[in-house]
Amino acid sequence: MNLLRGIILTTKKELNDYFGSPLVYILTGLFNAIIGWLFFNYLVGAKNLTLLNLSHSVLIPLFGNINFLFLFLVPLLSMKLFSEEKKFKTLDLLFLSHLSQTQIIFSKFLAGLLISLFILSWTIVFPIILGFSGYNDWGLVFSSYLGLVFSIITYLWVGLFCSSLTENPIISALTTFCFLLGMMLMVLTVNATHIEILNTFFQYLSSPFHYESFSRGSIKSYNLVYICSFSLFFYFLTSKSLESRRW
Amino acid sequence: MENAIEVNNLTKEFAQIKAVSNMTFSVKKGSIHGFLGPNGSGKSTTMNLICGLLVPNSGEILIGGKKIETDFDQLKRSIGFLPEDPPLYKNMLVEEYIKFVAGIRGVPNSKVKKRVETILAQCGLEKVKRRRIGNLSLGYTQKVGVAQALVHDPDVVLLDEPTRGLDPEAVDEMRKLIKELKGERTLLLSSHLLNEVQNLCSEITIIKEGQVIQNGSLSEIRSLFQQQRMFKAEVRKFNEEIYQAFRLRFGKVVNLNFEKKKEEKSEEYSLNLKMPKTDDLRSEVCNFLVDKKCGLLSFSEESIGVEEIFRLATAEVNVKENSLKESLL
Repeated sequence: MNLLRGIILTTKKELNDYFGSPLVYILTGLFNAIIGWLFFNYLVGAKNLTLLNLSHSVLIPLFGNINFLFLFLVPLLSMKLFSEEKKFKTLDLLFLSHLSQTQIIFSKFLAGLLISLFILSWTIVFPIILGFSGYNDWGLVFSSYLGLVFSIITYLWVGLFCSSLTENPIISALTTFCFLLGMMLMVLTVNATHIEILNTFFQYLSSPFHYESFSRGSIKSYNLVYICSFSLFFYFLTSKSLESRRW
Repeated sequence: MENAIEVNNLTKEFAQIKAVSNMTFSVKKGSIHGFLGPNGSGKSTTMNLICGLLVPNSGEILIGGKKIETDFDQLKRSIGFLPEDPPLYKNMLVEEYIKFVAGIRGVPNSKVKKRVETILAQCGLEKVKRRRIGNLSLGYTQKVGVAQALVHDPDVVLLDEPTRGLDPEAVDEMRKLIKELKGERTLLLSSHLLNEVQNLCSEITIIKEGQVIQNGSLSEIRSLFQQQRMFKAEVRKFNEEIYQAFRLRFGKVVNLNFEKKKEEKSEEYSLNLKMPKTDDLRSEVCNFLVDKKCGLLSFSEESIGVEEIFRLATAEVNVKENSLKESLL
C-alpha cells in the first residue's frame, strides 16, 4: 500500500479520536494555565528586565518546566495508542489490513507527536509577549523549542512501547511515567556516587541531559545521535512487542 | 474441486497447553464450510492461525496454494475475517468506519465511495449508516463486522460465530446474508450451533479439544454415522393391537415407535421406524399398513441431523480416550 496514504489514514483516525475526547482540551487548558502562572511568577521575580536576565530568569526555567510537565502529559497522551486497540481487538484489523507494521507504528507516533505539538504550540505566546518588550534572543527560543520537540519524541517512543505491552491504558500511563521518571532519578543517583565514568555514561542515556544542551543553545552532534538511536531502539522494542502477539 | 484452504498437521501451543493438535482439513473453493466444535475446542485459535494472526508451532496453512507464513503480506489481501468479537471503533459512524477499513484494506481512492455504498446495501446497513457504532444493537454491530470483512472483496471469508448473541430475526437475516455470499467466495463458518451449520453448509469439520474428529461433506458424514435407515410415516389409525401384529410380522428387524399427534382435533398418528441399511423392507412395511387399513397418509425417509452426528462423533472420541486410558493403566 502507498506508504503515505496508509500513514495519513490512520493518523487522521487517531487525531479524530483525540479531538473527539475531552482529555486533550482538559490537558491543554491545565498545562497552559500552569505555564502562564509560572511565567507571571518568573517575570515578577526577575530583578532586572535585561535581555540576558530575561533569558536566564524567565525563559530557560520556563522551558525547563515545560519539559518537566510533558513528563506527565505524554504518558496520558500515549496511553491509549496501542492498549485500547488491544482491548477492543481492533489491532487485528490493522494487522490484516494493507498497512505494514512500520506504517501502523509510525502513524500512531505521528498522531501522538501532532497532539503534543498542539498542546505545546500555545506556549509560543510567552516569548511573543517578551518580544513586545524588546526581547530578541530568538535563537535561544528556537533551540529550546527544538529541544522540547526532541524530548517529546523520546517520551513518546517510551509511551508507545509501554502502550504496546498492555491492554490497560492506566497501566500503560503509569509504566511510561515510571520509566521516564526513573531515567531522570537514575542520573541524580549516579551523580551522588561521584564516579566519573558512570556519571558520564548515565548522563548520556538520560533525555534531560540532552535537553539541557538545546536550552543553552549549544546543540552537539551526539545530542542528535542520541535522539535517533533512542527512537530506533524503542521502535525496535515496540515492533517486537507487537509481533509477540502472534507467537 | 480445487481447495481454497488447506490445513496440514497444524499444532499451536499456549504455555505448553495444546490449543490445536495435529489438525488437518481442507475447504473447497466456493463452498460454505462449517467448522463445528464445543466451546473451547480451538475453533477461534484455528481461525486466527488460518488468517495469519497467530503463528503455529508446527504444520502449514495454504490459502489458494500459497503458504500463509511466507506469503502473509500478499495473502492477507484475499482474506476477510470476522472474529468472535468484531473489531469495531465504537466512536465512529458506520459509514465512516467502513470507509476507513476500505482505505486501509487497499481499495483504490476512486472506488472507495462506490464499494462502501455496495457493501452497506448488501449488509442491510443503509438505514444506520449515519449512526455511531457504539449505539447500534447487537444484530447491526455484527452486520458491521461482516461488512468490514467483505469491503475489500476477499476470496476467502472466515466468520467466527457470526450469529452469536443475535435474536432469531437477526439470525435469519445473517443466514440470508451468508447464503447470498455462496459461490462468489469461499466461506469458513465456525459455530457451536448445529442447526445453523446444517442450514448453511455443505461440508463440515468437527473438532474437539483441538483435534479434527470428522471432516467431509455432510452427506458422507451422515452415512458414516447412520447405522440404520430411519423413516417417518403418518397414518389415520393405529393402536396397540396393530403394534403387536407389526412386532409379530417384523420382529426386531424393524424398530417401531408410534404416538398420537399432539393437535387436539387430530386423529392422526406418527410412526417412527428404524430398519437396517442392508434390508430394504419399505414395501413390506407399507403393504402391512395398507392391509391393516391404517390409512397411510405419508411415508418418508428421515436423515440423521447434525446434532446427532456431533453427539455421536464426540462420544466416539470419548470412548477411544477412555479405552486408551484403561489400557495404559
